Amino acid sequence: MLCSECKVNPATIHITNIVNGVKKEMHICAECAKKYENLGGFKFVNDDFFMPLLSFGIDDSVIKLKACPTCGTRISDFNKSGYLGCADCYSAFGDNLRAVIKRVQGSLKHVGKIPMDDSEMSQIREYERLQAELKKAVEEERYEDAAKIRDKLRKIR
Amino acid sequence: MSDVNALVSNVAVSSRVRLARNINGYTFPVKAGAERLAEIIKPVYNELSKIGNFKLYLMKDKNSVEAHALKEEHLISADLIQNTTSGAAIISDDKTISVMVNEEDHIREQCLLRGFNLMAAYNNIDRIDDILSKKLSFAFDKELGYLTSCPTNVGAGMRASVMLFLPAITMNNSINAIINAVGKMGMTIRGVYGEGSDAEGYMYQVSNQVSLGLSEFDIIKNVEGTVLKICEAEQNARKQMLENDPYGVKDMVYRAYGILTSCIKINSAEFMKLIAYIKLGAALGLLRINDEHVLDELINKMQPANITLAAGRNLSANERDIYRADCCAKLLGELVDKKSIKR
Repeated sequence: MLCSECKVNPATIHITNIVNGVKKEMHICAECAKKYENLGGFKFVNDDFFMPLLSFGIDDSVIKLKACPTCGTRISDFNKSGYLGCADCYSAFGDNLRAVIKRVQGSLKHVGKIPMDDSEMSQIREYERLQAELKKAVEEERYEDAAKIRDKLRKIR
Repeated sequence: MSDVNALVSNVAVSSRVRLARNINGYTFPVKAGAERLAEIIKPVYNELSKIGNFKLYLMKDKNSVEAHALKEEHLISADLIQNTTSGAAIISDDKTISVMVNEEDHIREQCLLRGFNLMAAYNNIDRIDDILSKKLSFAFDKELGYLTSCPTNVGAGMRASVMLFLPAITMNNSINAIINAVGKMGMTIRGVYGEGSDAEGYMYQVSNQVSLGLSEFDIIKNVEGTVLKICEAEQNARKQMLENDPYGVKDMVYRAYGILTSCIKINSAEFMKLIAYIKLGAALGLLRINDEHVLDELINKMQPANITLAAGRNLSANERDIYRADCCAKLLGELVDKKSIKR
């Protein structure tokens, strides 16, 4: 097989990359690989080809909605910087972003603190959550922690 | 508890908990305009002022020396200093609480305490967080938790970290294996003043990587567990070190004391290396230090920006080295009990 870049040398480096179930294959020679390395990074197909290995890498070709309607951040911006533009990006980039979060954090379910705004609902939810934490702390014989959680529960009540 | 104290003693330097928060209706700092972002500073400062003595530091008003001095004291980040339009820090007088505004996220609340004290640090910052959340509407999703500029922080938005002094496992080269092992446990360990095994002053920071799917208490428990394991490895390596080469270790410590109390000029890298030997010597009982905390503070005070600030004018590198040697000789002379040095 000839190198897909220079089409002269035999391809000795084979790279397979799977993004969101889409498989991309590269077959190149050592010289072309070195050339791209010297340029400061691999650039085989497009700018984002190696992104999935380097950072978050959502393949924007599979996403219909490319920009967040609130702040205009595009998936390609996120792929390059690793930063989202606003809180609404989380819903705008939907399942694709969730797949990234699942990969880097190993979970999609927040089980921690709930903001203490003045709404009764938020206080009830936080109270229930802390009660569960208290039970766990007692079971694990972490009595100092338990005492602090109990103090917090008293304050909410 | 006494076992824990023995393990972390002379190893765990400080504990920090940081919470990342953003405000509904504002795009994240990376995207928002400076004027809009600047609106966030005042309400945060007002709320904090109601509960204690806090000082407001606007990055646009600070010259870079003052800002870098705060960074050397671990109160603000390098990224905040970069934001010279809307970046701000609101810091308590005792310097345990620091709230950065318009860093990577709108609000970064942190509590920094001496020693191994993550739960207390969390409780302090949790209280600050409750106060701010009642006034400001935080971006929160009931599935994903606190929404952050970078998805690596989404969820609890929390980093719990402990600064560790690890000379023995660095010198016996087991630090790299520990860095790898810690990585597999969802934790990260990095040099405070440099990376990997080149960590200057043998100071490292261990923190959680994951912030989603775990409660704040679970995160703390996990970091504490990892820290205790590392402390145990360090304590064992220290014992081993002294057993293997008592004269070598003694020579290293007393030689460092000799240089630091009599040199006329010293650069930052050499200072960091030698002061670490003094710290290690104290931990091994080779010399006695009147106040361990003052020694840790000395490390911050001898960083370049803090020296410039204390001198009150810009110093050349050579002048800084002379100033550093002078301060260090004076302070160490007072801190180290000379009678404890036994040849």
